[in-house]
Amino acid sequence: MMQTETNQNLLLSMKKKNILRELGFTPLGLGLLILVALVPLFIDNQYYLHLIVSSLMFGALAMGFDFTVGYINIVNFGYAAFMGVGGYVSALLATRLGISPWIGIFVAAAAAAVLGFLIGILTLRLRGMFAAIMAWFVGIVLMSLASNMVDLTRGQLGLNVPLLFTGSGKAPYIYTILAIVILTYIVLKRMISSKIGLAFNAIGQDLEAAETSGVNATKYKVLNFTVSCAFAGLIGGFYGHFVGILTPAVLHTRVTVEILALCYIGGRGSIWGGLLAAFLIIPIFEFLRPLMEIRLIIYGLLLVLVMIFYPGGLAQFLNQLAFYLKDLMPFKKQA
Amino acid sequence: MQENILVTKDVVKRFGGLTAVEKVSIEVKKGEVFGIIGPNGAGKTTFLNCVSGIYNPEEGEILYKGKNIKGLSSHVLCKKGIARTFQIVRSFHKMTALDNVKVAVIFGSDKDQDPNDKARELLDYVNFPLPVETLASNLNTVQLKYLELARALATDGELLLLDEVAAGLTPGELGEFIDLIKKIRDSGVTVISIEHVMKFIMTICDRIAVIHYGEKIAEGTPEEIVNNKVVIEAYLGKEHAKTN
Repeated sequence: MMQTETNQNLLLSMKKKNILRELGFTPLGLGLLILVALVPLFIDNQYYLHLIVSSLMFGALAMGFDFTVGYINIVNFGYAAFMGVGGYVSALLATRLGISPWIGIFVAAAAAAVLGFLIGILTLRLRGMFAAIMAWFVGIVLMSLASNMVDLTRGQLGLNVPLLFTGSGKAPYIYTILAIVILTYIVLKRMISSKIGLAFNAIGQDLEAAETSGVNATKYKVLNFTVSCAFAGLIGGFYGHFVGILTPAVLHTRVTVEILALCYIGGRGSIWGGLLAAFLIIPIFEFLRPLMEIRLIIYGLLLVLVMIFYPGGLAQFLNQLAFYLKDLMPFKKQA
Repeated sequence: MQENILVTKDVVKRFGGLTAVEKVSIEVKKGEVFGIIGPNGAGKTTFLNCVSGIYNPEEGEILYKGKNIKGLSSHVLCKKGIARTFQIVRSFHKMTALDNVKVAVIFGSDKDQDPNDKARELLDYVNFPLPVETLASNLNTVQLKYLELARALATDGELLLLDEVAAGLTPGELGEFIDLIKKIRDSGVTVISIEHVMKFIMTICDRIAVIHYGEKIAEGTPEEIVNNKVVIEAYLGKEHAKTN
């Protein structure tokens, strides 16, 4: 009796572990996420909390960006614009129609997804370069629209956006964006570890071979692009309601380049790499204020270094480290 | 008389002002090995690309099992049973050999089967020389050729298009490949093969078409082709054609 009970417990715990594995969490990654969740309980400095929200936000964007560049090998140069669209959609819904931001951010995700879908349908039949350029141009056009449709967006003056939470505490925002990060990660990882992900990988690594192996490349590329844009919209929606003001600069290519840099430094094709890179790099820039002015130059240098020495970014470095550490610990091997 | 699996009628493919394929018509019978030869730049690969859906020819018809397939894309043709390999070997380099084949099993074949088992079976069938978990980026050209064959076969194709599989093989490897192609043919798959290696052509092809400057200049059994004046002229020049 006792025996079966312990067996069952063992089975249950094993199952739990498998579920986490299936969702794509390693014990270390999960631990770090929990650590982030605990931070607001111990730290009261709103400035630090704000930094954590920023890091999580950019990390989530880098993950969404990586979903496209790291798997189907297409650089979405308009990524910030999709985020901006999400931001404006949710903000306008809240200010004009009085729709709750909690609904608004999901409408924002849908709007960005539709936009991504349309661009994808138009360009993804062709080589990846066309999608990249088209998305970039659409982004630039949208930014001009946001600047010039003053009646709607107040242009450069900035649109005041109702906040998600009343009161000045940042802690609720941390939990909200943390939930978004986890949602993003799980959805992206689940897709990647499925058959769909196999198609993405095949397309990204050799388009012609994928097509002659029966993969409907256009379909999967459009799907990938749409999902990636949806998350940009979702995070953009949150961004507006977190910062409280939206300006057309959110849609700028500069922002895309920052996301791209985080994604590449973190490691393309890893998903979590971008999140980790965001946590390292965004706080560093915050603390070294004078560097903010030249941060795009520093991003450029970091990109060059990563390309030369670690094309797989932080993710590759850490995976190799973990591999060596495992070798050093023979007792762990048996487990 | 066996039925034709593939018939092309006056296929024309142009790139701007350059006509790469000029009115090529062939008839390939079910179950045979059909060779396509010709000097470099003759338009052989372009022709094969038209058949496998990578290019859409400007003129002509391509009938596969009696139906016009001109203009359909590669992945649709793959489902219909046309598989191919590439002259410059292609692979999903960050995947294991097993996963490379699995992609084709999952997306290219309609049969209900376990992708893992089927992929292993196929790698075994083509005598893939390394462990199936080897990353494709670690394979050499010859190993990649085995992998490509396995991937092409994984789609359960009935028509296999080979683009210079025998190029760059050692005599020993060539023998293995010839045996393998024979095995594939005997399993009921029709093979169209672009090839330069004479030993391969002479031993395995039932019939051969010769393409020169985009046009088909001759067709026949290997023996007929090697004695054909026009072919000798195309390869060796007029002098040789005369003295022969």
